[in-house]
Amino acid sequence: MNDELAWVLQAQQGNDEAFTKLVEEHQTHVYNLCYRMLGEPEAAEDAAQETFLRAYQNLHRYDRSRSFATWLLSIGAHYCIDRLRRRKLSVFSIDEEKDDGTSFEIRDTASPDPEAESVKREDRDRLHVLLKDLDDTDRAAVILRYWHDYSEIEIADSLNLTVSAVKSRLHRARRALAGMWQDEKPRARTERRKVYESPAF
Amino acid sequence: MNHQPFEEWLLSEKLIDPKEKLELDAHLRTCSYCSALAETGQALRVVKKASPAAGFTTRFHARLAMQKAADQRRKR
Repeated sequence: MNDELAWVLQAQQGNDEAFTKLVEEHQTHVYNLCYRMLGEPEAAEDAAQETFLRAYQNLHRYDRSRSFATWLLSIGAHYCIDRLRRRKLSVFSIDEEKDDGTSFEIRDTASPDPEAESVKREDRDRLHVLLKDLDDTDRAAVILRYWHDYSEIEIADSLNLTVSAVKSRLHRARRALAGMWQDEKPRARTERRKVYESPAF
Repeated sequence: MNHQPFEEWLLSEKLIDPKEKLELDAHLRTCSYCSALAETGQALRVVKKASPAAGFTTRFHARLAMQKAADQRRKR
């Protein structure tokens, strides 16, 4: 993206307005990563802001041959993983007793098929909650793979892993999510199985 | 229960032919683990990104200004 490259060059030369354009451009990518990693909006906002601050302070270290988005998400992923390790407790501030149903601000867009969409939205919400029980780095790999469409090579680059470690973590995370999904209260399993019987590969 | 090769197909998101699809469908009807793997795989394919509340950039400006002020104070 030529505009983005120009903004990066200008920002590296001290142009704060150019950096602001980069924040506008990438805020959803960064916020989404932080939200999926940390589980709730306030922590995600703080982490996303901190990610941009760190990027601003380290612009001189950014290698322009690398994707700016990948560099940003790498900073965000490492920040969130460090934050989770420092906290060393359940990172989701909601537990079942306290959940009043208003804490997850999962934004969605309108759809022409409300019933199918409400099933999909339900599954997305369930998935978001299950993320918390994954290993932190596995979670980051899953988020980058499915929410941000990163290739295994890009995930490896972002998380300082080998490609085979990324594959292994993604598979482990998928198995763990399936196990948790299976263990949850079944709801209309027959209907859901019909929908998923023939996965579109 | 033997989950192979179905677990591997689901994890690797392998392109399967019609014969394999029939075998997979038959397995999914009897295996709750592989069904869960297929369902979570499906859910992962339709995820949406969460967006920050409006005004994110404005809040960033404020944070950056505070950080710069703190850096200035440290230099004195």
